[in-house]
Amino acid sequence: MRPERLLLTCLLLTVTGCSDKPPVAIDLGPGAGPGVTPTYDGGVAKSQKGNLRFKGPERLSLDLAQALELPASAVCNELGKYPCLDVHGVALGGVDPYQHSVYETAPVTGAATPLAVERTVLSACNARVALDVNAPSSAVVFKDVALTGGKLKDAASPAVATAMTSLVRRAWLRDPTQEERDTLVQLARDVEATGTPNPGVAWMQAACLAVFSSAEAVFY
Amino acid sequence: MTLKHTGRLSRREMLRALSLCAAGSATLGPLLSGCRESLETPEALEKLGRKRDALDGKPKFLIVIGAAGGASIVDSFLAVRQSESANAGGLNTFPDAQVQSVTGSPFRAVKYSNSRLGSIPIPVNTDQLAFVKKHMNQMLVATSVGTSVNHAIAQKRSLTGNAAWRGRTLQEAVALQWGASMPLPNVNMGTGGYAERGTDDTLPLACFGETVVNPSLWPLGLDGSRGIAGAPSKDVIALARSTRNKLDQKSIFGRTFQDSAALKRWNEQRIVQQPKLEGMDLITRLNILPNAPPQIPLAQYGLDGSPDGARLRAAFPAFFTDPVEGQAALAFLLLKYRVSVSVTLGPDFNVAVGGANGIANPPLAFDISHNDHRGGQAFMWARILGAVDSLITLLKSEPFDASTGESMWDRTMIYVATEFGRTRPRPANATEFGSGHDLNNGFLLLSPMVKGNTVLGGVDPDTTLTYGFDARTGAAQPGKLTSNEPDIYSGILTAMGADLGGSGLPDASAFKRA
Repeated sequence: MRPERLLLTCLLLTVTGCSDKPPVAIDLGPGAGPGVTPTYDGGVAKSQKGNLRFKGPERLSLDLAQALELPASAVCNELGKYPCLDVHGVALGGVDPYQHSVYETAPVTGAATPLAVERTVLSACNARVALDVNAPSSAVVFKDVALTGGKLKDAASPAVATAMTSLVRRAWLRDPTQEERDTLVQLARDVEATGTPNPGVAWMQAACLAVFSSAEAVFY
Repeated sequence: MTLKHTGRLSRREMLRALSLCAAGSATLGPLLSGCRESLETPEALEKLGRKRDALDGKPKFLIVIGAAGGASIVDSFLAVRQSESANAGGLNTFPDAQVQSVTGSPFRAVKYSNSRLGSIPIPVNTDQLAFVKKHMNQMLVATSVGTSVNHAIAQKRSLTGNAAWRGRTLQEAVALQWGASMPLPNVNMGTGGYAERGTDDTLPLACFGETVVNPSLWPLGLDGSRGIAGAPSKDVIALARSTRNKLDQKSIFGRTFQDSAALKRWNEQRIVQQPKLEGMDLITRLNILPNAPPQIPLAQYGLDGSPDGARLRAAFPAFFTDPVEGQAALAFLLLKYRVSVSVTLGPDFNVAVGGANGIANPPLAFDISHNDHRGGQAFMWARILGAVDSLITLLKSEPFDASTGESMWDRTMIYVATEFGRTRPRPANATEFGSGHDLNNGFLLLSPMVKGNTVLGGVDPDTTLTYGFDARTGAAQPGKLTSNEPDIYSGILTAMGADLGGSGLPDASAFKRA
């Protein structure tokens, strides 16, 4: 490498805050072990452009179907009948050219968009949780998570940690950090403290909602 | 706060807000609300064209009805009789008996009857007389000459006055003026150019229209969890949201994109706007639907219909199948519950099945006039005037301020926007003929705030073209055929009492009730 190019490369590395340590490899496979990403303290390079895109209705819905292993038609239906893609499609940034002459996507998210996202995500999460709880032998996300009297038997169990890792991998396509996983486990205790009936199931729904409605899950 | 200067949360403020949220702080809402509201100080709004003296705390309302396809004013309130025109046989004039007058009013009313609508075998029997008699004192027709005969462009120009005020639409101007305290100040259910946002990017984001395409089901999306089978309690949902916000704040993704405008907006919508919308119980109040299983099983999902549902369903019985009726019902509720100050509705170009004869909306709405001008205009005018009449009746019955005795209608403007007029020539004395697009036309306004029972401008019976007027004095100007889009735009805002300081708009005092 020519000296000036080497200098330029070094400068760029310095400016962007890159550490000399190589980044930690992340296992993206949903079938891999219940790992977490070790803490990476090399700092974060802020995006200068911040050019995020909202997923939009089709991508959001299909991602949920794929991640939670649900048929696309089971992700979300208002009143059990009306597909959320139709009801909330435009609120989710979609178009509706044939029925309502909406030919262009909205340039920004609307005031009702976060609500439509939550409804879509919560519906899909409920469907997944119901399947996992009612048919434990074929559970997909909350595998081997034991409930006693509607409560989580042991929030510190490996099964809970594995479920949280699985949830995060499916939504964010990466392992959770230890802190993220602890936060989601802590949610179980917080939910139980509310006195809600069936706190174990409520925690599963809440954890799924928290992860899949996060900014990381709905923007790209 | 940086919001005072830039309109955006700084990184530090956003982190603080999210931290507070994660800790469940009750101060979070007021903090972020405070940020947003700091943008809406009189001083800040004055820079955008509004003056402090307009901030009286009482909203006024604008209903825009996009009469898509070209609603012709000479097929309604300025119709010309054959006996009045030197060129009657070759122009769009009516047999004298079909054009009715009302004593003491400049408006006319067309009565039309035919056994078919173009090639559609449904009868058309309409009469505008009852509408004119009922509403003439709060009707104003202003003649117009537009600048485009392209549907989408002309639709948009009917709302911006051809960029008369920095490109902002009338709805955006009204949202800016009176909508600061509303969660969705500008809701748009219109089609094509009527649904487009304006081009004044200096406006706060909330002024731009929230698009709604399915008025009957849309309110179901105004709560994050209610009505979802098996959803956990609100307490649990609150914990899930708090956890999510905490995760977002600390994640590599969140930190990498912390300066993203999209993410900042998202956080504000999620943390400030969302609780506001849910707190108003709009999933119930705006829900026109009845509990009618198995098609609409509201009760099964823990939902109720609006307390106003029954009377709205009576006023708009086809609300579920006829888009205009559903839109009009939702428009009323959006205004009544102070969700919006501006609502936009109107027919689109699709066929809607329903109505007395099986067709609620013909293909292309008013633009079916290409195929059958007179029948199409009669059918569509009846459709628009029917919705307007029902809306006025509802708004009159709804108190606005008990201390002043004002009704909602006293503070509402209905603007029947349209793209353009229609060409006037017809084959000799034909009663069924097609028409094209023509710049020459007129607009209908209805409100207690307009100078009622008034036609600004007039019509030349020998050409059936409308001529202009002086927007300040209201004096008719026969022979004036130049474009006046800014006059119409200014006239609507002037009649509503909007503060137009710094707008550069023409004086259009002639529109305003003295």
